[in-house]
Amino acid sequence: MDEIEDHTSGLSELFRLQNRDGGWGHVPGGSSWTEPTGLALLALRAWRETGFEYTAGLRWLRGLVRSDGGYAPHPSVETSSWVTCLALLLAPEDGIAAGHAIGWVMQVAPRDSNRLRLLYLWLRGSSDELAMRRLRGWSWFPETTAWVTPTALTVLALEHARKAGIPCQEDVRMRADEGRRSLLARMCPDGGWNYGAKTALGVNLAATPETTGQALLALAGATRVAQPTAAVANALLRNTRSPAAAAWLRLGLHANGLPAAGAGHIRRAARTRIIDVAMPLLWAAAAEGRNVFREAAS
Amino acid sequence: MRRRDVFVLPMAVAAGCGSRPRVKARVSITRCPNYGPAVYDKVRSILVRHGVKARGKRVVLKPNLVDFPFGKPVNTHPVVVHAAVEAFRALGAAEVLIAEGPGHRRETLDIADSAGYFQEIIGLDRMFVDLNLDEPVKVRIAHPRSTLDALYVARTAMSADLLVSLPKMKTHHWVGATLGMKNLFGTVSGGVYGWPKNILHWPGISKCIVDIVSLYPRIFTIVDGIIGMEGDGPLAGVSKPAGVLVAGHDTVAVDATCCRIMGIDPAKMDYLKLARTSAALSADNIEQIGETISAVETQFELMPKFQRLRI
Repeated sequence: MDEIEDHTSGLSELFRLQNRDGGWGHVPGGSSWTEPTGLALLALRAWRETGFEYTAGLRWLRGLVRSDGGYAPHPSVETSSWVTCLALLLAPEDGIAAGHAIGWVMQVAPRDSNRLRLLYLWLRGSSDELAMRRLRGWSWFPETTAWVTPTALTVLALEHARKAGIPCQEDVRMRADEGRRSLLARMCPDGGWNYGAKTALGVNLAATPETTGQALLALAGATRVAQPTAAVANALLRNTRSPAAAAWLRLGLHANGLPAAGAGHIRRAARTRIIDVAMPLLWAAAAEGRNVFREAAS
Repeated sequence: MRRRDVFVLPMAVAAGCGSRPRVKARVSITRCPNYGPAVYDKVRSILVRHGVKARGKRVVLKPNLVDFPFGKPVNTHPVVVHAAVEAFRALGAAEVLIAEGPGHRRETLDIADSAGYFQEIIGLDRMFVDLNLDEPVKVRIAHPRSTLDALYVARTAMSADLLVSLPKMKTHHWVGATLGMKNLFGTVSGGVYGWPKNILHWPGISKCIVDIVSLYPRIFTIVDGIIGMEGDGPLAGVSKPAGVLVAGHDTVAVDATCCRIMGIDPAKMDYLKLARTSAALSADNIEQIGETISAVETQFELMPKFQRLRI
């Protein structure tokens, strides 16, 4: 395990970086955000650290729920967004209104898949793009395009919710399947994933580490991973310096039963992001058989 | 006298009556052939020449850090950024920060490291702010060109006494060129809108460029055109040495000047047309100091769809 010799030092770091309001910022000392708080709570749960700090974090997170059932990315933001899936992954913890959260996730649709957009693509004769956009993923922010990270994490959250028996009127399994197919449609020519665009003006785009790991994790068990994908994931792992990205790649490879290369020169300077503390903890727990992204699904 | 003049001339006179003479925007062009030590003196001179007031101020430098470079000139060179840090400190700035929020990659500091920033700028980690992870503030767009009426931007950028746009001089495969104005996309919060900041694409990139610039009343721009990028910018193009630093308080005028240096007609650039009338963009309405455009112009190769932008 890079960066953290044992999980206790990582957990100590996470406790030290918790804000007084119970949440975690993106960076040490920064105001609390939903994404790092959600991932920090998942890491604490993975290591069964569900005491005072955990409940304080949950209390902070509950404060971000909005009337439509979704969660805002930051207290100052007046809109629910993709981070709702992180709350759903924590459900059914006390106070996480899973039913409303899953309702929000199921009703939100990316703008690039609306009927007008599909009609426009059909009239233009853009058959490849039409085939891709027909498959609805999830966007970072409402009324925008679907991308890999929010799609992959929401697929994981839906599977978690389904297995945990969280009630939903819509067919969660079908929607999660569609999300996975949308991920496959966004695979880069090299076999990995970037933010969600295969090409730009005819030029092939390359995969990036974090998103490749996330896509692999979301697709595990549903799709057989081809050799080019495994190769590119390991190449990215050898070259990334980000602890968070390395953790996502390891989680993705491990979930697919694939060996992971040794990581390259992981950034050992002062950690600059809370996710660089939380994600390695999540990987370390998964390596011991506790993958919180797939616990209810396995 | 022609019949047409009977109508046009009185209108022209009426338009001139009582109107104040237009104040020309001042833009400097400084020759700078490489990223050697001379850059430091040149940047200092630029600030003095433009009468930039920084004493006691919180200055936020906003370079273009877009991706891991892999040998391509995609990012503002660290020497230019460091020269700006030193120059503003010499002017008595109370605080100088370096801040960026890349649109597609989340590992901002790793990008800065691979671009050589840590080697060049001692203490970077103490002065660097990842704008995507900064506290977001909702700002209303007073007169939007796009369909957006507000945006969440980084508090560090919004609260700066002086925001300094430090872009790389590059072509851009969606907009034509990316310069001082487009560089400010990096102040919009990725933590809110994600990676990429697709919220800015749907309403039209050109319109959003103008809207975002309108949020910042205090901007100074220095364009790193020492080695720019031509062709399929902003990432897949190739090096284009232009050997210049272009600077000014008026970001629109700076961009217009850069376009002329690159062989692009600013009056044909969508985002510049939205920002200002053709007359206002004309070279006659910009006070050019330092080198002349004709002395430094060098045609940047444009993608076929942008050949229409040629002067």
